[in-house]
Amino acid sequence: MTKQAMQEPTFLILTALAAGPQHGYGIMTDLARISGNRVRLRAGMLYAALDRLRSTQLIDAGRDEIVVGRLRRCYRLTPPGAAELAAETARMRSNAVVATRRLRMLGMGNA
Amino acid sequence: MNDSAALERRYRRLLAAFPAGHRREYGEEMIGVLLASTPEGRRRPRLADAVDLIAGGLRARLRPPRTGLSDANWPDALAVCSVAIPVTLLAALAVNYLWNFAPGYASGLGDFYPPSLALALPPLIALRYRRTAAVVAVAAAAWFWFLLLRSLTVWIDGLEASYCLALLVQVIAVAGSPGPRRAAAILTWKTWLVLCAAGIAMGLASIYHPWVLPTWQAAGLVVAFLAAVVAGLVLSLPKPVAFRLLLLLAIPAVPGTVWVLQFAAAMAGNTARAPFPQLAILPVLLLACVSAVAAWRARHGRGTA
Repeated sequence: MTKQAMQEPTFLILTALAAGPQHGYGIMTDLARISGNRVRLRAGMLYAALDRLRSTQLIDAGRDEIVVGRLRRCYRLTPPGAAELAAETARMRSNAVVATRRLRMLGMGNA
Repeated sequence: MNDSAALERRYRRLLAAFPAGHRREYGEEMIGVLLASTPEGRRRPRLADAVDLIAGGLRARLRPPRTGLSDANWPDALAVCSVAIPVTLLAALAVNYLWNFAPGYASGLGDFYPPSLALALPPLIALRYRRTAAVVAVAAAAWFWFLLLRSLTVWIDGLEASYCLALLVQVIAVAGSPGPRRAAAILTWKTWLVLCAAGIAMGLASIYHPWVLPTWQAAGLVVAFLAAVVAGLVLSLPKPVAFRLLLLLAIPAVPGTVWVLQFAAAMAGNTARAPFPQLAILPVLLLACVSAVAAWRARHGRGTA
């Protein structure tokens, strides 16, 4: 069965967590930074994505902490999550190599 | 009411768009993130945040419900099961083996000690090589099954079916679980105690044969044993994991329990060997199918999110 390509927010969340465990707000700001502010995930969509990723075991949640009276929980990449991110990165890289080669053939050497 | 409290109250109202389960799991965390990402002095949520929460809530409500077989607790239950079965069986056979040193006792299970030791290998190998561990689990189970079937004078009955099924569940658990490290993270010392105690009780049963007792005494012992194991696991493990583990362990437990009760009843009527009721195999088959699907989904069901 051919696997679907990973959605960009999912890819960026996993990339954010590849740097180490982060809590929700940290992921949100890191994700904007990684994508150069092109992708901004707000709380509703972020937590829907985190829930989906937890249910598929690509990430897991650490212990609950109370920081300044607010609940905070760190999320971290699981080994299957890291493997999935590595596979997706390899897939994107291979596509990019082909695209670059063909663009060069069109004379767009800087692509 | 200050600005922050008014803002929080309005965010909470918007969070009602999400299903209750999602709110329970993430609600407080989301409120923290929403307040942290909103500029100070605002009393009302930004329009973009309100739209995002309502859309996210609707999507969460419209998402197809999980089947129960693909939830994250199954891999944990399988991981615990992959350790629980060998620990329990090894404890049982260790008691049986040690009893051989008692004067005048010979258990007759001597052939089964080596393959029983082999049962401990899959979880140890799975620390590093999961596929190899699954193959070794199949080989150890096949060895055990071969000796068991060779030693039978009549077709398999409930007690032997229990051993065979325990090994089958062990194979499923090793193949489908994230491995013994995960199990070690979940198991508490109380769970280890429950598993060892259950194994020791089973070992003693293999020596004293409680099924020859009067029916009500045999039934009482079986019920007390099962109740103690169920209570011990439920109290010492996270409940969703404990319930799934109990479903997995019920596969080998059902035929053995039915057989002990049948045998005790037959003894009361002076029948040498009780017939095993064929219908008892139905719940076992059903549970085995559920477990196999859960294990398969635990291993392969990770779609791209």
